[in-house]
Amino acid sequence: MSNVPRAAAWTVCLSLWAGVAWAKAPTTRSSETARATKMSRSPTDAADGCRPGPDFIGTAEYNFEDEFDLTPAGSTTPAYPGVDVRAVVRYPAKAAGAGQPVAGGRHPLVVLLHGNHVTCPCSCSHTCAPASRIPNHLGYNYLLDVLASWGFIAVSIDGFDVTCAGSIAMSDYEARGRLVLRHLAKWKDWHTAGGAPWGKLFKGRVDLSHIGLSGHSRGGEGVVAAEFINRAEGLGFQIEAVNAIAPTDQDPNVRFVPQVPYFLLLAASDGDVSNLQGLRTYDRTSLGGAPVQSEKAMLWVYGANHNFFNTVWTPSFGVACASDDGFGDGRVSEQLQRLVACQSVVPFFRMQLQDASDFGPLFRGEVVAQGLGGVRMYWARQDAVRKEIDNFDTGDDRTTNSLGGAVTASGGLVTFDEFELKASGPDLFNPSFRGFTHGLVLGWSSPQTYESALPAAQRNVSGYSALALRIGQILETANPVDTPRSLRVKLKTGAGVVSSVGFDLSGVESVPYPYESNGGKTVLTTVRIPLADFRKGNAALPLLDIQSVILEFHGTGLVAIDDIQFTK
Amino acid sequence: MRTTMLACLFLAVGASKEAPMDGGLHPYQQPPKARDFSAEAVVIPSQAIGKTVIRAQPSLGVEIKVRVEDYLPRGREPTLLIGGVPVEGRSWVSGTEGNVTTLSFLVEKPELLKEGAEVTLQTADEATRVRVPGKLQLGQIKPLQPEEEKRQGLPPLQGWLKQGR
Repeated sequence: MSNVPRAAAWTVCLSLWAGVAWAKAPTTRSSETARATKMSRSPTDAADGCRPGPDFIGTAEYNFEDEFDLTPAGSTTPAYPGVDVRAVVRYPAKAAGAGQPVAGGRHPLVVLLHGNHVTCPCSCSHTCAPASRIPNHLGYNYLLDVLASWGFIAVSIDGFDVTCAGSIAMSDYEARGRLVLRHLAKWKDWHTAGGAPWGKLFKGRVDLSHIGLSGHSRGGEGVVAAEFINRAEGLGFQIEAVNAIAPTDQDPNVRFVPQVPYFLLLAASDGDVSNLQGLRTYDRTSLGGAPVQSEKAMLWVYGANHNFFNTVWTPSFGVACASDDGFGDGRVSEQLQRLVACQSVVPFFRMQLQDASDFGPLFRGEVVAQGLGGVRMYWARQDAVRKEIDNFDTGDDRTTNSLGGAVTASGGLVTFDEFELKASGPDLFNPSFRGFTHGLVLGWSSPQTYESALPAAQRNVSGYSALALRIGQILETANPVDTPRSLRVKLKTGAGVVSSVGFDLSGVESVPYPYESNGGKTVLTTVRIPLADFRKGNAALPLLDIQSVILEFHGTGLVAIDDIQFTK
Repeated sequence: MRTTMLACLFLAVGASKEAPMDGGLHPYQQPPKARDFSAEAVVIPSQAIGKTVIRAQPSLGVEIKVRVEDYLPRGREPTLLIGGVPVEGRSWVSGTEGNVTTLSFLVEKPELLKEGAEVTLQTADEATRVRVPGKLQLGQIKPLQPEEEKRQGLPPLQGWLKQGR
């Protein structure tokens, strides 16, 4: 049974209602021109990654009902029998519309997967007529369109048979990952030999050396699982980037962690995954000392909820069983929320799969994306190339950093200790944290200093361009938001030369105060200080001989700190 | 275009239905309407992902099935508590009939299963916690078929339950 006509109607309707001006394809440029354009984009594009690209947008769908059984290794009993392989596709085309020839060249593949939601109106039933199914996968067309216009083959999977489902033998997170991999196998076949349902439409047109995955909610955990399984089982798909939007992190048996560039988009007003468990995935990815490290980024969006990233889950789009799950103050509109996704997810894949490196300033929080000036967003980022002065993960020792250097502090700190910055478990400072890391807590009520020394062999930092640290003000009644406080970050050389850069901690713009709505959360974001800034007042500051990093606190405050590092 | 928009509007009016909201509560904050529960012994199969061994050998477990009315599926896993202790294991939707959804929870530790214990369910934070009618009766847990126990090399249910005492 096929539900393609119904799905096609939904595609048209949802695209119209999305009102996404950025989804309109231009009508004049060829894809060859597009590639030339991409190479010569101006730096200002970093602020407008959601701008539609030059390619025409082709549309397609595929639907293989009951295509395969998901059967655990060593078993003959399917954990998920008769799984459908169904998706909607947007791709760069020679003309706009359904089934148009694919534009010349090979195009990177981006695959999206939705999360858990009703499958039939309004229940977890899987027996309603195909035309009545909730088209959960059609809610990301606003992203697919922009991706396709920039030369990606963009696919959104309908995870019907792994949604509202499960098994003793295989978690639905693993099942989601394996479903993604099944789709990748299809795309490999279509690239190499073609095949149903479109013959040779995509033959020779898929750049299988550049694959990106994106997932929302349980789909976020699912795509991370896909990358994990692909690597663990040697399946050979060249997955180069993973994005998770408001993801879960709750498979009880496996903590999936990607080993490729990872971008986490987290909504502070999430009323579904309201404990923000997905934040843990940022901390666990590319931990200090991990054998394979890659860059990772997190965008924390005040006022965004769980559902509005998917238009099908958004009440104003009129699909059954949608709801606004968000709560707390400072909510952003559904349109702005999707613009946040578009202005970050699209640039992430363009940067990772198309080498559009000038999006770097966006992910370092140095530019504000167009249209989002009024949205409070905070970035965390860790570069693959870095010198970790202290990641606080090498034992509960506040006197020695990760490089083995001495850590000293002035005697008047109210709090000076390391804690688990998590929501539960032993050695917590308080349960307002949502991460999965060990870090430092400093409290002060008079001017105080904290100094972390670099051992003699580690003092050459000339190969780096910035000093970065993760920091967040801690949610606690004794730490009111409007208390005057400031931080100066200093570098001291072996010769005793000191240069400093100051930050005002009393506001939320440089270091966010914890989000007090929605249950209260303390979140650390990255402060990145270019080394050039340290040299502005002292051009002679020798980067070959940095002896220590000094944090100098004034006023009254309480902060958590993690990942002090020199970075690119 | 106008025709298409009208068709879409018709579709919307015909299909639009937000999740029910009772008492002004947010739909995701509403306590679940738990109806009843049952329990049965199950085989937890061995499992691995590549070299990551999740379970080297099959083991015995108990599946608690809780029937819930008007269940709102979501990203966050529901939590089952037995005698106030959370079951930190796998959960999933194992059946749907009309407006009744069956949620399954896998109990892997026999010490969690206490005679006469109350069973509670929460779908999010503690405010959503509700008591499931009935009390846990260990003698009412449906055992595996003896030949299945033997085939899998698993202990009888009663012996497994005693490990937790």
